[in-house]
Amino acid sequence: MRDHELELIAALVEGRLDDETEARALVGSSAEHLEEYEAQKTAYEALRGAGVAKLTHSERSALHRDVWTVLRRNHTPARHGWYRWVPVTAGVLFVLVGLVAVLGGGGQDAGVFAETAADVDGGSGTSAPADALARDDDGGAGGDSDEGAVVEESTATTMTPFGAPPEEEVAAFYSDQAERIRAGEFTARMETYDAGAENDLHVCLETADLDGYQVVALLDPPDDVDRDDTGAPVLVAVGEGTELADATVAFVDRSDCRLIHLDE
Amino acid sequence: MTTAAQDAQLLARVLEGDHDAFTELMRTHEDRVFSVCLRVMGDREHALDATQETFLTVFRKAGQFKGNAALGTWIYRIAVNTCYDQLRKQGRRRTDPMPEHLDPADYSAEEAIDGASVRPEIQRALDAIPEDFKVAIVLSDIEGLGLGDIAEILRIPVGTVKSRVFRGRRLLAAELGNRSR
Repeated sequence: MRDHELELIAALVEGRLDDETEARALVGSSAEHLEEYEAQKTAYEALRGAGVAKLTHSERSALHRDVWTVLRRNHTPARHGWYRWVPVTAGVLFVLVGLVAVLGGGGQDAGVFAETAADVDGGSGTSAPADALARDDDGGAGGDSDEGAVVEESTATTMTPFGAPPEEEVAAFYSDQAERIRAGEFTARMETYDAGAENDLHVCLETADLDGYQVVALLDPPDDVDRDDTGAPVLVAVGEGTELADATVAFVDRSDCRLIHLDE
Repeated sequence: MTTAAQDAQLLARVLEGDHDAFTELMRTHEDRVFSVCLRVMGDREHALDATQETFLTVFRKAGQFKGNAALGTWIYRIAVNTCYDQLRKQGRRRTDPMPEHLDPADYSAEEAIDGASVRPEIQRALDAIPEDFKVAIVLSDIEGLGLGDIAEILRIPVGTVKSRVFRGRRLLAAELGNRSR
């Protein structure tokens, strides 16, 4: 069968023809053409009836939660090797230069050194240029590659750091908050806890795999923590029936019900 | 503003580290990506995994988008490649997909209706035909994309797309015929 005949039959099947006379004559011209028409029509109608599938509500939530979890986990570049010593070195340099300036009256030179030290320090932070977002340092083709587009964990450090503080700072913040919770210190924000939303919060805790926990307070996250909803508070939860002073304290992102920190 | 301009603006925001922009990008394209992955992978769990991988790749490769094609076309291309990769990782081992009205189990009736479904026998027939033909007819006949767009997504000539679609339909019809006997 010739190409233009196949195309004519396909156009007939898809209902794209204003005048179907020629196509129908072709279909009726031989058993082969009729068979082609029936096969295409059977498949086309079966598939057209399917429609575009949609994510369910829970699948959509899971998709967003999982994607953001991976992005958050990986977007802060790891500090490896000599990079970890740069801030220390810069600090030492800064102090030395200051000492020289004070003791020796270094004047302008000291200022230049101080600026240099500050530059070095600034360059060693966790922030990276935004254009590093999609830098493909594996040397391979992109997502448009015929070889595929699977994200490997090892390449994740190329993702954009959205100005987030280092993980250890975040952990320290929440550990400190956990201590305050255990000590019974409640901040003003915590007092705004709306008991009426308890059921909703309970679902959020279940999503974070915190069955048996209850929300005891709300907390504002530390500044600059990357979140898709910066207005949402952090839920503070402890195991039901446990003594607050000895409780394991869980912190859950209210915006996506993600467990941020578990302080034991 | 044109769609292309909106796409460019959205990606620019993503590159600047704008959370909301990436969420917006996902929301715009996630159903179509999932739909393609579902038809290609054959079950919702794998399709969801592939959808997730697709958007992680979109995030990672956002700076490489040249704007030569529509953003949606580019994302489709990543989705199809991701599905191919995951099928390769599975060693082309295929299991019979669970009928969609039973999978997943935790949804309301309303959700089951929302998740437009391919009848199980059609999905099984789709799973039985070679991937190249399956992808072509999924993009053409389920997603309703034009031959030019499919050629762009698969990076093959339009003539090749046509032959894959026609042959894919014949293979699918044969599978459906065999299964109905």
